[in-house]
Amino acid sequence: MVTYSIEELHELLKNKKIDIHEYYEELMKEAEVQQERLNAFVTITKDEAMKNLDEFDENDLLSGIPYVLKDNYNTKGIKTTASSRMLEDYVPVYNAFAVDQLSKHGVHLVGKASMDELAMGGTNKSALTGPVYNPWDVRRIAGGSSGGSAALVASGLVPFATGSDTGDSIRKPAGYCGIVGFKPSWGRISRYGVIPYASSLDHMGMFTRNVRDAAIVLEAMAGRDDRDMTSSFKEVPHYIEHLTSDIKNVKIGVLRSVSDEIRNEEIKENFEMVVNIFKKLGATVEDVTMDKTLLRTILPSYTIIANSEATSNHSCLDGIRYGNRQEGETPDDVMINSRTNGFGAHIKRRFILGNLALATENQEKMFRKAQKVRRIIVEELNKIYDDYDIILTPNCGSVAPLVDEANDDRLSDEYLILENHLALGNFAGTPSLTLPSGFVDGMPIAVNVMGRLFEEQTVLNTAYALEEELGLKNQFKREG
Amino acid sequence: MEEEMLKELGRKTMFNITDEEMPALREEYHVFMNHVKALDAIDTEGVAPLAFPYEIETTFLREDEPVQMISREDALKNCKDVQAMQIKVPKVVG
Repeated sequence: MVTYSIEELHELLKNKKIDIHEYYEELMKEAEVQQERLNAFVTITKDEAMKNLDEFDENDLLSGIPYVLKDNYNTKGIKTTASSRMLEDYVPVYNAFAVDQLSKHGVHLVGKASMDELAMGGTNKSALTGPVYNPWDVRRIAGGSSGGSAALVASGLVPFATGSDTGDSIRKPAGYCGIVGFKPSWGRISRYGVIPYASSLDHMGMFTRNVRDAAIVLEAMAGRDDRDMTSSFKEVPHYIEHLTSDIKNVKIGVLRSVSDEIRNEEIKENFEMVVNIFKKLGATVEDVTMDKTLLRTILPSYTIIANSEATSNHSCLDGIRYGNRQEGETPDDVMINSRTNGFGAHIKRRFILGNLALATENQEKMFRKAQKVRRIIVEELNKIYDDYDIILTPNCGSVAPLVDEANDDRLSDEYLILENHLALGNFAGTPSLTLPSGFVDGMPIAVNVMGRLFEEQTVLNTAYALEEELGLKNQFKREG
Repeated sequence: MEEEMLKELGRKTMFNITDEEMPALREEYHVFMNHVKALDAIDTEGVAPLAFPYEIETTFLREDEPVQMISREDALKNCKDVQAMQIKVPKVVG
């Protein structure tokens, strides 16, 4: 089965080069094949995908386009589990804002994608339905927490999927899977109806196989929503119309404090190649730094803030009104038994430690302290934006790990800084896009471009220019 | 002592922690406390906490009028124990 980008498929449908019914029949068969190989779906929604196929609108780029939602996006009448036993049978009675936004364009939902339980993880190994495998090498992880979405786009099955990103949960898996992952500014896409992780860090976003498609999907998902008071009133630009690879006026700061930590020689060389391409394209490219002592506190402050907000957000998951209810003698017992049975061990640990940081006696030295450090980190980052439009970094320091591979040395700067720096974009809420930059040992590697708040267009243009130069677009890996 | 403290904290978070789960919890607790300690490296004297990525421009109080509601039927759809259109729980008083 041939895979298409959004624009390619639109043209084929518009010019009646393919029959939409035949296309979707074949697509749904292929979904089953890829599920066998990648374990990336929680639910395949064939009935939903096959609905209203005759209502194709040739004036809308997204009309007739198949897509996948991460399983924390609420879908009315369709099971939404967030890959947790607690929500194994949960069927929402309303749609997330972003789902309604996309539906207006006539997209077709192929399925709900696996994720780390409640989006709390970076491997997708904690999903109730088991690990998701990387299409480029099924011995490896697709990354997390939006691993199912990344794997399905990278398999070529669908041209786009949604994700959510609290620390790097769109961008890391996008890099591991050789596709584009974009987390726009905090407030650009409403968080309403997406099962949260940590509200002050959660961002909605998308996976695509090229930058143009990311521009199209972003425009559709974005916009003010009164049900999310933090969503922005700023007008949504027509990103695709303004997309250009002319970046001569763009000033790029290469964040050396991060890239200096790359140990893998091939990834280092690849990153320098990217830096040189931007110079060749006429952008102003200069080295910038941040204090390493401060960068080493990204992970600690992230862990404290994210766990604290998560335990607070998920206190509602008690099995009483919805979710996995277990029997008990008293209402308290029902809640304790439901939560004990409903969550994986790692989720319980994170909630308990979040609660520790929020306890009255600890709040100032733990949670508030982390929030203060966050402010200093954001202020230092914003100083770079005084002089630069874009901050360029490697996406991470390795290819996708093997499923059973142990974590890296957690005290090294390579881990603390290089593997966790993408959370800078969550701390500051800035738009951050990961795109493929090459291959090491047959596995994709990537770089990240991060712009100023609400300057998504500059991020897209910079990424588009690099993509045009590298030619690494519309990549997918299909077997079976 | 530490185990007792963590078990109690678990209870406050509405979980039971089994003996089998305790070693991993203790290990993660130590990592967490190292994170807390790592923040000491940063002087935050006089710095205000940052609760959101940036100052939110949309903060205002809306009129206190119902704008979005779900039906009672919908509200009860995902509940495992419903009686007479109400959520049923074990007896609270004897």
